[in-house]
Amino acid sequence: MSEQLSLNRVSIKYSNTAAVTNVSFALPKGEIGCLLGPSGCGKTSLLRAIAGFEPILDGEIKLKGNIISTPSFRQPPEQRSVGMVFQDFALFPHLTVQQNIGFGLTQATKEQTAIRITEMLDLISLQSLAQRYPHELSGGQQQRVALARALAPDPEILLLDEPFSNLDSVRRSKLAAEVRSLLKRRRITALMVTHDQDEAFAMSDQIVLLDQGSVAQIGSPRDLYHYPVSIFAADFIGAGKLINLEVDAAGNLLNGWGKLSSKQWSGKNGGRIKLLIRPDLVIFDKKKGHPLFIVEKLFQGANYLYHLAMADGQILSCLAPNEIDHAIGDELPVRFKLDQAAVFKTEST
Amino acid sequence: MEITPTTVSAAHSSRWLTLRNMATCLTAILAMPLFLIMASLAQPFSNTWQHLSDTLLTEYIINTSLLVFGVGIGTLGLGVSSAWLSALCEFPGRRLLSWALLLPMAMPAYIIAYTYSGIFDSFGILQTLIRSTFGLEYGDYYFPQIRSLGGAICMLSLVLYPYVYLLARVAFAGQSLTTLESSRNLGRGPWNSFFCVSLPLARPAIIAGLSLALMETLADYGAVSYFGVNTFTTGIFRTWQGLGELLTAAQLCAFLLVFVLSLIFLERESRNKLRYYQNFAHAKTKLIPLKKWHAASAIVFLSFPIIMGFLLPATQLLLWAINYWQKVEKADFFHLLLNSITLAIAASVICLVFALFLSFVKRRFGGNRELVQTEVVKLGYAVPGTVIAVGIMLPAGWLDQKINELSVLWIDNSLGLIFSGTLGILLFAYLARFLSISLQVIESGMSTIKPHLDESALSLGASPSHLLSRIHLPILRPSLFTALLLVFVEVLKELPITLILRPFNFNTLAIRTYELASEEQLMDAALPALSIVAIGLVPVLLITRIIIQDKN
Repeated sequence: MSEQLSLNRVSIKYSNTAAVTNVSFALPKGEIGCLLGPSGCGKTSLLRAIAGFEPILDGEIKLKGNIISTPSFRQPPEQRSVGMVFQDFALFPHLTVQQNIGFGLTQATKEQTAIRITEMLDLISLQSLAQRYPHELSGGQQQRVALARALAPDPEILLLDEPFSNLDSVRRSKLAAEVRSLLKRRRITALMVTHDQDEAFAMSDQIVLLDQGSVAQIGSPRDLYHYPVSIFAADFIGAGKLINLEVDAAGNLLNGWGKLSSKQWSGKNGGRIKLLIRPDLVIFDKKKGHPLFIVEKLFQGANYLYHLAMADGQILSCLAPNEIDHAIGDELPVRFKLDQAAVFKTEST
Repeated sequence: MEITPTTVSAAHSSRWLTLRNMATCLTAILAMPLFLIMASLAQPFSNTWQHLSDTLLTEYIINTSLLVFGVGIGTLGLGVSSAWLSALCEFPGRRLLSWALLLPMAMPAYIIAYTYSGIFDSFGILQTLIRSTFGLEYGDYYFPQIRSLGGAICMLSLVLYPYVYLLARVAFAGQSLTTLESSRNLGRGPWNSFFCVSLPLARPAIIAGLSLALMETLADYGAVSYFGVNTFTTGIFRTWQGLGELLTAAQLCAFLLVFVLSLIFLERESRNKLRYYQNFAHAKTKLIPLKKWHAASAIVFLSFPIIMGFLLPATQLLLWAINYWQKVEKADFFHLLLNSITLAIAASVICLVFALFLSFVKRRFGGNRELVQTEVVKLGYAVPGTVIAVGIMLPAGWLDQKINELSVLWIDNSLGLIFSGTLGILLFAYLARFLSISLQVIESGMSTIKPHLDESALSLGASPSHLLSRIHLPILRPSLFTALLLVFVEVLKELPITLILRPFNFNTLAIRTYELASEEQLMDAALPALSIVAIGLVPVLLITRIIIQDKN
């Protein structure tokens, strides 16, 4: 698979504060990538650099093998063939839906433009609203028009800046699924930016997790969820608690929960560790489970989410089917799928 | 004691009803001059009208149209370019220039007109200098005639472009960065993006500013009459004061109103569009840095209207005033100053009281009736002072005449003029024209007070007067001040209404300036003129603080 977009050691600075440092990643053709991270991690700066709105301080950005940004060269945004869907959609308020979609078709003849506009309207199923103005559309409709407008000139890559953040949560997940299937159907390479991991999971093939301007981890959503490589990644992605524990040289947990595999624990001595325990790794087990106190109980439909207190006061979450119905204050016997828990050594104290 | 809610609301509602009717009466009285002007068209057209339409009417129409067209081009050119440069480009001195570009607003058109005559006329400083330097005689060389239609267009453009600048600048600066970026992203270059996105988005604001500038152009009397250009306003003056034909003058006014109404329509339409066009939610402008030569040309370009529209004439006025300070009758001058200030304070307080009353009634009811009333009152500012003055003279003259007929009949003695030529009628005219200013200020202030505040005050048992005095007024304090100030300055600068309606021998700064200038005593006129300009600077500074504040 050829690389559609590649970033090589890219750094971006804003008035002397580093926004992005040394970021490298590549996106193969037809894949959907995602820049994920908390606000201020530099993800939007990266997206804007790819679109050509920000200069880069170091490194290079290539699109389809051609250099589009280096510290000394910046191809103007209008020559890049990069489509972008802005967070506020940025539809032109003085143009109709149809004119908005046709705006980027500068090279096409009138006929070609008309054909392309119809095609795009079909794609987003808004044929009936072609003559409307943006302020007459709902948020979801505006979003789709913004998408159609960005796709109309057939860009090499589509950038989406927090594309669903302006929509309510119900519409958000529906649209995310719609957009993903649309992009996949047309084999469009896309890169989105979000701080919402659910959106990232729903949309992307590959996630670039950013922490304070640097790459924290790159991988598939599943990899990031199950194999976080850092405490930051473990904490940021998915639900779960980081539990402080002590372990002996052989990998036995001192609190008697069991033994870590050799893959998880290769220390010669014992020491303090942090264990990432997702709610789905804590299993209700009437016979062999360790009884823990229930401090809180949230009904989630099919499941209960229990918050359990350990002997030392640390809190764990446990996802249990809703027929396991215990009251707050009761004890819930649980065992752990320790082999799936990520282990982090903490600094020796 | 137990208070039943029904009795409270019943007591309130009857009082509300009287307030409502009072507001309607007030609006009707204020609208009367306009109504009478329009009604004058139903009166038979006199012989004078026949004569007018044969000779001067065409000239009035052509000159007024050319004036409006020329000032339109001038204010657009100066206003839009300076707004774009100062709002979106970065260069040294940008903030200072953005501020100074508003200075010409403080310069009334008639003052700049006579000052420039003093500089550029054949016996003005410049031409005298040319003749003495090159040893030429008058007529040996070409020099454009300042006292002409072209001159009037230049003068009005120089002092009226700030309306376009102000609104266009807010529009450019408020354009969302992403809207422009998405245009670039879709393959349009910077210039193309400017013409296809920036400019169309700013268009409603530009047109709103333009229509304000053109309303002022239509209302101008001082500059055109000083330059001897025959337009509707000078025509109305001549027909009435020269020929004594009040009805024909009123009919001319009605024709002028047609121009004005189309501008009002244009302005309203544009403002409606603005709501959709401006998206301040994600507004964060990124300024385009200008390199050395570009920055230098931007500075020169932006300095031009400031120098020509304010610094040059103000300096000239200052020099004249200093030179003639010794000769000026100080007592006369202070008398003028006192007259002007008293009149302006009285007018601004009256306007404020009525504005508070109308907007309070509108807020408590918010019915269609109140909506129509405030819209009618707001027309006032768009109507040229000349038209309002004539519209008031019609009934005042008629009443005086009737009263005198009766008094002669009953007490065998004439009572003289009771309404015409009194300060009361003058103040009423100011109210009809400037109430819209205070009303707009108060209304926008009121709109920031959440309706829940009223409801909670009323539910706590406050009476309407309590609501106004204990809730609204304290919150509105800054708006009250602004409303007073704006009307104060407008009255101080006002020329045609005062000229027509003032009591005999009652003089103000503006009147004296105009009279002295008309008698070619330019230097003597400098001191009162300079005072008007200086006082006019106050609201300009006020506006500036607001626009600089919301910028960057």
